[in-house]
Amino acid sequence: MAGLSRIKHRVVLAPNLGLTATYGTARAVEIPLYQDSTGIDGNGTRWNGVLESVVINYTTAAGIASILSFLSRDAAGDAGLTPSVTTSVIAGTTTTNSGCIRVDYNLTLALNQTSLWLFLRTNAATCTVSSVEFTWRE
Amino acid sequence: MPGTSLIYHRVPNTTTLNLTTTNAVARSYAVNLNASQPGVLGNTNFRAFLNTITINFTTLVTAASVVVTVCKDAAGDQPIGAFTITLQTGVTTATSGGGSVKLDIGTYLTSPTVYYFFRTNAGTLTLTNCETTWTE
Repeated sequence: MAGLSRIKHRVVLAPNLGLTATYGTARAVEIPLYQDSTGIDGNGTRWNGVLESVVINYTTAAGIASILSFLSRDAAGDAGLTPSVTTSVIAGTTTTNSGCIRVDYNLTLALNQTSLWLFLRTNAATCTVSSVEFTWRE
Repeated sequence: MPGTSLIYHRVPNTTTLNLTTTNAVARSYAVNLNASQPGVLGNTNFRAFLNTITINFTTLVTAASVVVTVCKDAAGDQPIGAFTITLQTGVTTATSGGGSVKLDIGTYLTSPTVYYFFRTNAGTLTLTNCETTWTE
């Protein structure tokens, strides 16, 4: 019996982005969805797939309890794709001012674009986003 | 072992609608789901999986969500589901924004055209774009 596996993709970024308690265009990360698959035919202007999840690692946290995020179609953050969600942070064990969050989407989309923008803010105070790993499948 | 991907379809609609808190024929779209593949044999029916609706809006006043009711008829009397889109307002223009909702409906319809009726939970907005994603 033929396998029916789904082809997975991962977008890995190291934005070194300082977050505050407000959304702003300076605190957004562009997600180039074809980062690991630039040779796919026809991927110049469109993207089809299932947005799975994003894992965000942070450092130098100063009193944050959660990180808020949403996806936008544009860099200005004025064409929201997902609503803002609040995700409690998982703090590090040996370095407690570091940690991560994971946001699940499972959103099937056919888009007329190849990048999305991830907007981020804290519930309060500051941290630095050290890495963003975005997963999607065909 | 080879992977098997889905076949995706995107159905855009850029007709502008001024939404209020009530459904009405004047605030509905006819959506031809086979618009992206008009030459496919046998597409007088629609057998597929409706995945997602995304919207964009401007001139938001008060509204926090939009309910889209998917119907089989233009009068809006044969609904097959109602879905709430939580709105995300813009970062640089707070009266603009967008949102999305998962439908996850497997369908076997006798027509490829369905009708979307939109209303807000409160207040008003102008719907500027609506896109449907479905998969075979």
